[in-house]
Amino acid sequence: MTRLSMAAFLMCLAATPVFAQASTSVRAGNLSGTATAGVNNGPTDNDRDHDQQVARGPRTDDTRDCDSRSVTVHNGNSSASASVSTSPGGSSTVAGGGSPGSHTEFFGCDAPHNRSTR
Amino acid sequence: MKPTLPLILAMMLTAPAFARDNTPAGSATAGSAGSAAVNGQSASTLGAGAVSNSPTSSSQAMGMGASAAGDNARTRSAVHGNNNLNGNAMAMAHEGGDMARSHTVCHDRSDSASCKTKTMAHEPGSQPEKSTSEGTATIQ
Repeated sequence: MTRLSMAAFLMCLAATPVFAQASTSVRAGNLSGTATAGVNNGPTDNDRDHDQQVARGPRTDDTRDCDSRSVTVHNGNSSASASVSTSPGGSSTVAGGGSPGSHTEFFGCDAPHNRSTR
Repeated sequence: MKPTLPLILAMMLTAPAFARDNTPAGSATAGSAGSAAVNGQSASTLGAGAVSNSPTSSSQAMGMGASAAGDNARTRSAVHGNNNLNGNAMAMAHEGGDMARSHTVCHDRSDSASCKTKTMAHEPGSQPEKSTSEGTATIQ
């Protein structure tokens, strides 16, 4: 391979798209939310801990004075996900959605032994 | 010309990938949040959106949340859409002339995610206190 070809090849390698993971976390009052996009190698220990903490009941709508609730959205290939959770008190609602093939799971406050999906 | 073919193959394998419909490959996340409180009335909303494009697929996810405490507290959250997601979250609490309100809107597009939150707190005899926070990310 000529020197020029090698240089071009190296430039191509440098231009290879890097599917790095991007993540954003926001918090306000007793709300917290996280969005993650990019290559995902499956749930982390933190994800599992968070999931266990918030898995308390089925999806509900507006409910007052209940335990925390949350929603998580995972795309089929786990490349995009978002989650929102609330802590107890007051009135709270959460909502989630994703592109086709995504999995949305709600955790509510009225039936502590069930989880629901849609 | 011998190096040409391997070079072309290498370029095909490593050239910057563009997903369907010329959507740039990569990932973007954005979120915004806000709270307002006045005289025992409080309202908070947030939203978080994610977009991920690979050469072969595109995926989006969004979460919205609203929380309010006080007399006459109301909350509402929703996410609509399939390939372009739109999210809304609203929280409000008021008593008499005291009012706290927060509203977040998020959009997931094919190459970007954005969220914007506006809050307002008001008590009689004072100007309303307003704030805006915004987060936007675009796949380059």
